[in-house]
Amino acid sequence: MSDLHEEDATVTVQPDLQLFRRLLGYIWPHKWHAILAVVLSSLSAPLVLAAPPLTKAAVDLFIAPDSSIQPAGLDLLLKMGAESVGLGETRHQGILFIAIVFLAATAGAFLLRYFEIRVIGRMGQRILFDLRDSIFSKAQYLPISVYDRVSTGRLMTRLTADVDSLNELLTSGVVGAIGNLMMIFYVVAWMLWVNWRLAAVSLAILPLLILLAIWFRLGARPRFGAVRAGIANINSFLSERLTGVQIIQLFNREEEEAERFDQINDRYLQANFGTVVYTAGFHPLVEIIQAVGVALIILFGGGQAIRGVVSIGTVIAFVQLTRAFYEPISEISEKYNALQAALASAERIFRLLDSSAPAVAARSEVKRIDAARGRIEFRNVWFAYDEGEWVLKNVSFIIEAGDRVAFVGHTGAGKTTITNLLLRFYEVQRGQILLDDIDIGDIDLQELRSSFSIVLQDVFLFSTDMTSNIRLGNEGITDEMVESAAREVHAGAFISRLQHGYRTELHERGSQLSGGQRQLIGFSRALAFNRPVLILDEATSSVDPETEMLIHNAIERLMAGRTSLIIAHRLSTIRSVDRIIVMHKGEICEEGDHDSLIALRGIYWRLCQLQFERRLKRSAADIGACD
Amino acid sequence: MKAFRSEVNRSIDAEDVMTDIERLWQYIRPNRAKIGVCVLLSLAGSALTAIAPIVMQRAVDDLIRQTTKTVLVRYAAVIVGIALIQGAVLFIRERLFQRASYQIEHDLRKDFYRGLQRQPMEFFQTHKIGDLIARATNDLTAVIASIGPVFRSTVSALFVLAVIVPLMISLSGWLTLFSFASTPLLALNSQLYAKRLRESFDKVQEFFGRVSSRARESFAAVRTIRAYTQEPAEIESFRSLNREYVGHSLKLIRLLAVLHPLFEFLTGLSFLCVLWYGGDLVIEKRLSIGQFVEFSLLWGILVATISDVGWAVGALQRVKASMRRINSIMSIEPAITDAGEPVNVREIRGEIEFRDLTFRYEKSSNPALSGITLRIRRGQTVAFVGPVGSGKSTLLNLVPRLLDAEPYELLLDGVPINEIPIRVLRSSIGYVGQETILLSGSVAGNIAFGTKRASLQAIERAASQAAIAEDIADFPAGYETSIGERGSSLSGGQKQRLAIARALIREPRILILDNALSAVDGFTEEAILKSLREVMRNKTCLIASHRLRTVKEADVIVVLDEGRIVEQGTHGELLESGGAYADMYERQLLEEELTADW
Repeated sequence: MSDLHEEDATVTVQPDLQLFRRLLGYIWPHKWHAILAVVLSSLSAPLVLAAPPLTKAAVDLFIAPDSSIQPAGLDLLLKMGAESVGLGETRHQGILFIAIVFLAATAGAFLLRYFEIRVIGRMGQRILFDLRDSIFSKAQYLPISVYDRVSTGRLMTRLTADVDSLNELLTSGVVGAIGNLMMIFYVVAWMLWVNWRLAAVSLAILPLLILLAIWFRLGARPRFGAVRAGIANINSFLSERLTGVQIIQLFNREEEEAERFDQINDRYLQANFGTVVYTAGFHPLVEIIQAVGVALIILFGGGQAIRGVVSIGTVIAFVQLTRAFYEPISEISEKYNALQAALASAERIFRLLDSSAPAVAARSEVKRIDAARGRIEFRNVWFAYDEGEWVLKNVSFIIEAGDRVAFVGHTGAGKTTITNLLLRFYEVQRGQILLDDIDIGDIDLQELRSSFSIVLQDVFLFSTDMTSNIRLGNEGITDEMVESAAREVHAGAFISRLQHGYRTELHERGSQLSGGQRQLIGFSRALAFNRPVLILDEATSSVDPETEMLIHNAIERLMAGRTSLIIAHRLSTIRSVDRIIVMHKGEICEEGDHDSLIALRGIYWRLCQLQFERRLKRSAADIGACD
Repeated sequence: MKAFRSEVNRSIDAEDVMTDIERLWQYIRPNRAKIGVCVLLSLAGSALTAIAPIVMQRAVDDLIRQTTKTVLVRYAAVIVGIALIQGAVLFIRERLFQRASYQIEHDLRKDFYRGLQRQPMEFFQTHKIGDLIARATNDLTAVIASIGPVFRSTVSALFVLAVIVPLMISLSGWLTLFSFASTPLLALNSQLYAKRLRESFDKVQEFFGRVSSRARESFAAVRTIRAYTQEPAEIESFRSLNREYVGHSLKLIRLLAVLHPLFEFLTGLSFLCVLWYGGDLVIEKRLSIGQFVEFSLLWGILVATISDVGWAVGALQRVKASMRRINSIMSIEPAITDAGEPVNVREIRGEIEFRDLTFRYEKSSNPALSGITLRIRRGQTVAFVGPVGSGKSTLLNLVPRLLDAEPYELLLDGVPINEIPIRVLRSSIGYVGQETILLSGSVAGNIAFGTKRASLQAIERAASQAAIAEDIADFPAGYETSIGERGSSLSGGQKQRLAIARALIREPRILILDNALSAVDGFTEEAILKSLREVMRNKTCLIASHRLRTVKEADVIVVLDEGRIVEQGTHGELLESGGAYADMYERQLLEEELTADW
C-alpha cells in the first residue's frame, strides 16, 4: 500500500549556491525593494549598535578619563560636539550630551527599522506570491500522467508547506541576514579602526564558527529533508483518507486506518527527533565560542590596558561588542535552522518546477485551426499507460466531419482511452491522430481542446455556485446562456428547486447532488460551451431513463451538425448514430451500422441479444428483428 | 436510562466548552515531568548567566587597579568554564524540550485524525478537506514552533525577576528603577497589540486553509479543467485568492514591523538612563567602573528578557489563533454515534422497517423523504426506482447510518437503528455507493479492505462474484497491481466491480447497491446479478437503479417520486396496475424497440 504515500526521504544535496541563484532569480524582479532594504539596514545598523561606542566615549571622556590617552576618532568628534553646544564644561554635562546623542540614535534606529521590516516583508510576500503562482500555473500544465503518479496531497504540500517554509527564509531570514551582515560589517570596521590588534584577537574565533556552520550543513540538511518528506506523506494520507472516510466507516476500518496514520505520524516524529541534536546543539556551541572570544579580549585587551596601550573604555566596548558581534552571527546561525528547512523545501519546489517540461508540448511548429470542421482520424495508434501494457493496439478509424459514431465494448476495452488521447491528455506511442487532417501534436493544445465539448461519467463539480460550475471560468458565457443551457437539458427544474437556485453554493465535489443531477450539470456545461466536436463518455449512466428521454432531444440538437463520439453501455442511447465501432481488448473488432453488425453475429450481436433478452423471451420472431 | 443519557449529554457539553488552552494542556500534561526538568535546567542555566557580569566587574576593577597577567588568565578561564557548563545545560534542556514538543504535536495530530475519522458525511460537506489538512499540519506546526519561545521567555522572565533584579538593586536601587522606566510602556504596548495580532494571525491562517483547499480542488479536477481549457481561468482565480492571502500576510507584517523596533526603541530609552545616571554615580564615586560595567551587563540580560517576552506576546497570539482552529474541529462531537446505552445486538438478521419516516437534510429545508412506510423481510431483494433526485440514495444511506433517521422511524430486526452498536450494524452491511472510492494500494488490498486477514481464495472468490476476476488476471501484476489515488488507472466499470467485490467479501447480511452498476455494460451486469442471486440467497438486498432490467427480478419494487413512495409491488403487479412504473417500463420498452427496429 505504500509507494504512493512514500516520499523519497533522501535528498540529493544540491549545491546551495545553485539553489541560492535560483532563489535570487525570484528576488530579481523586486530588486528595488531589495536595494532599498539594504540601504535602510546599512543606515540603521550603526544606530542600533550605538551603545558600545558611546559607552566607550562616555567612559574615556567623562566617567573615567585617562589623561595619558588622547581622544581620537569618534571620541574626539563627540568631545568637540559637546563643547560646541556648551555641554563640555563638566563631566555631568558631557554625559548628558552623550545621552542626548544616544537618544537621537535610538529614535533614528526605530524609524529606519520600521521601514526596513516593512520593505523586506513586502518583498518576501511578493516572492511567495510569485512562487505559489508559478507552482500552481506549472501544475495546470503538467502532463496528466504526473497526476496518475503523484497524489494531490503531495502536490498540495509543494504549494503550501514548502512555500511556507521558504517564507521563513525570505522574510525573517532575509530581514535578519541583511541586517545582521551589516552589523557584523560595522562591528568589524569599528574594531579595526579603534584597535586592529584587539580586533584581530576577536576575529580569531571566526574559523570556529565557520567549522560549526559546516558541521550543521552536512548533518542537518538531509534530516530536514526527511522532515519535509514526512509532512508530505501526512498530507497525502490525509487527502486520500478524508476523501474516502465514508468507506472507512462503512467497512469498520477505523482502527486499521488510524494505526496506519500512526505509523506515518510516528515516522514524522522520528524525523523531527533526528533534527533535535542539531537545532539544540547549535546555539550552546555558538555561546561557548562567544565566551572564548570574551575571554581572549580580557586576556589580551586587559594585558594591553595594564601596559596602558588601550583605554579601559575600549576594553569595555570590545567586551560589549563581542556580544554585538556574535549576536548577529548566532542569530544568523539560528536562521540557519530555518534556512536548512527552507533549502530542503526549495529543492523540492524546484524539482517540481523543473520536472518533465510538458510532455505534451507542441512540436516544431504550431498550426492554427480557427474553427475545427471535425474530421477525426486515428492512424495505427498504439498506446500504453504503463510500458508494455498495450491498451490500444493498432487502432485506425476515420470519422468524417458531422458524423456520429458510437464506441461500444466491454468495460476496459479501451473506449475511454480514445477520448484521453484525442484530448491529448496522453501522447500516443505509435501512430498518429489527426484532426482536420492535421496531426494533433502540431495543433496548439488550447485550440485543440477548445474543439471538444466533453461530458464524462464522473462529472467533477467545484465548491462554487451552480452558475460557475456550468460556465467554469469562461466569462464569455452569460448567466442567460447558463440558464438556457440548463433548461434545455432539463437541469433547470431541479436547480430552481434548490434554496438559492443558480446561486446555490455546492459542497466539495458537489456532494449534495445525486449522480444523475451531477451528470445533468455536465450536460449543461457541454451545451453552454458549444464546440464543434461532442464527446459523451458514459454520460447518461446515472440518469434515469425518464430524464434520459427528456434530454435525448437536447442531445439530438447538440449533435446536429457536429462530429459526435458516444461511448455507451446502454445500446438504447446510441440509436441515432451513423456508425458503431466495437472494441475488444484494445482492438477494433467490428465496425459498421447496426444492421450490418447484427448480420455479423459477433460481439455486437451478443451485446444486443443481452440487452433485448426480454424481447427474445417474448417471441422468437423478435430475434428476427434483431437480426 | 433517561437519566444516564442526560448525563452523557452533559459531559459532551462540558467537553464542548473545553477552551483552546485547556485542550493544549491536555497534551502537555503527560510531558509535564520532562518540562519540569526543563524549567530546572533553564533556571540553572540562567543562574550561570548571572555569574559572567560579576566576573566582568572584578576584572575591570582589577584592571583599573593594575593587575597581573595571571589574574587575567584566571578570569578568562572562569568565563570559558562557565560557558562550557552553561552550554551543556542548555543543550540538554533544548533537546528535552524539543523532543517533548514534537511528542505533543504528534499526540495532538493523532487524536485530530481519529476525531475526523468518526465524523459523518454531513461534516465533510461543511468542512473542506484541504482546510482540515491545513489545520492538521500547518496550524499544528505553528502551535508547536511558538510554544518554545513562550516557554523560554516565561521561565527567563521569572528568573530575571528572582535573580538579576536583586543583583541590580544591590548595586543601585535608583539606577534599577530608572532602567525599568520604560517597562510600563512595553507592557501597555503589548496589551494593545495582543488582540489585533491575534485577529491578524487568525486571518492569515484562515487564508492559508483556503489556499490549500482551492489548490487541492484544482489538482483533483485536472481532467475537467483541461478538457474545457480552463487553465488560464483557474490560474487567474487562484491568483486572486493568493493575492488576498498576501494582503492579509502584509497586514500582519505591518503590525509586527511596529512591534519589534518599538521594543528596541523603548529598551534604548532605558539604556539612556543607565548611561546618564550610572555615569553620574561613577563620577561621584558611589559606583566603581567595574560595577558600572556589571550593571550594564545585567541590564543587557534584563533587556534581552523583556524583548523575549515581547516576542512571546506575538508567539502566544499565534498559538492561540492556531489552537483555536484546531480545537474548533476537535470539539465537534460526531453527530452520528452509538446511543448512550446501545442494545446488545450481536448479529443482524436483516429485517428492515421504515415507519412513517420523514427525513430532512437541514431543519428548514423541504423533506428529502416523507411518509416512507415499508417493511423488508429477511432475504428479500428490494429495488428502488424513480427519477433523478427522488430520494433513492437518501433512503439507502439511512440504513448504514451514513445519515441518521429519527428514532423509531427506522428499525432493524425490530430494534430502533440508532440503538444498535454502529460497529455491529456496519459490519453486517455491504455497501456500494454511487461514487466509487478506492484507496491507493494493491487490487487485493482494496478487495480485502473491510476484512481482517482475508485469504487469497476469498479475495479471488469475491472478485469472480463481482465479475472482475478476468480483468484482474489481465492486469500486469494481477492482484498485486497497485491502484493510483482514486483508482485513476482503472475504467469506471472496473472500479465499480472492485467496489462490489469489496462489499461481497464481507459476506454481508444486507447488501446495498446504490446505482452501483451504472458504468458496467449489460453483459457484465447480467453476470453480476446472476452471481448475486446465488450469493445473496437468504440475505437482504437493496438496489437502486435506473435500468428496469436490473430491478425486474426483485421481490419488491418500490417507486419513489419527490421523496414519497408512489407505488410498490412485484414487476408483474406493477405492470398490471398501470401506474408510474408501467409507464416507465413502457417507455423503456419503446426505447429499446426503437433501437431494435432501427
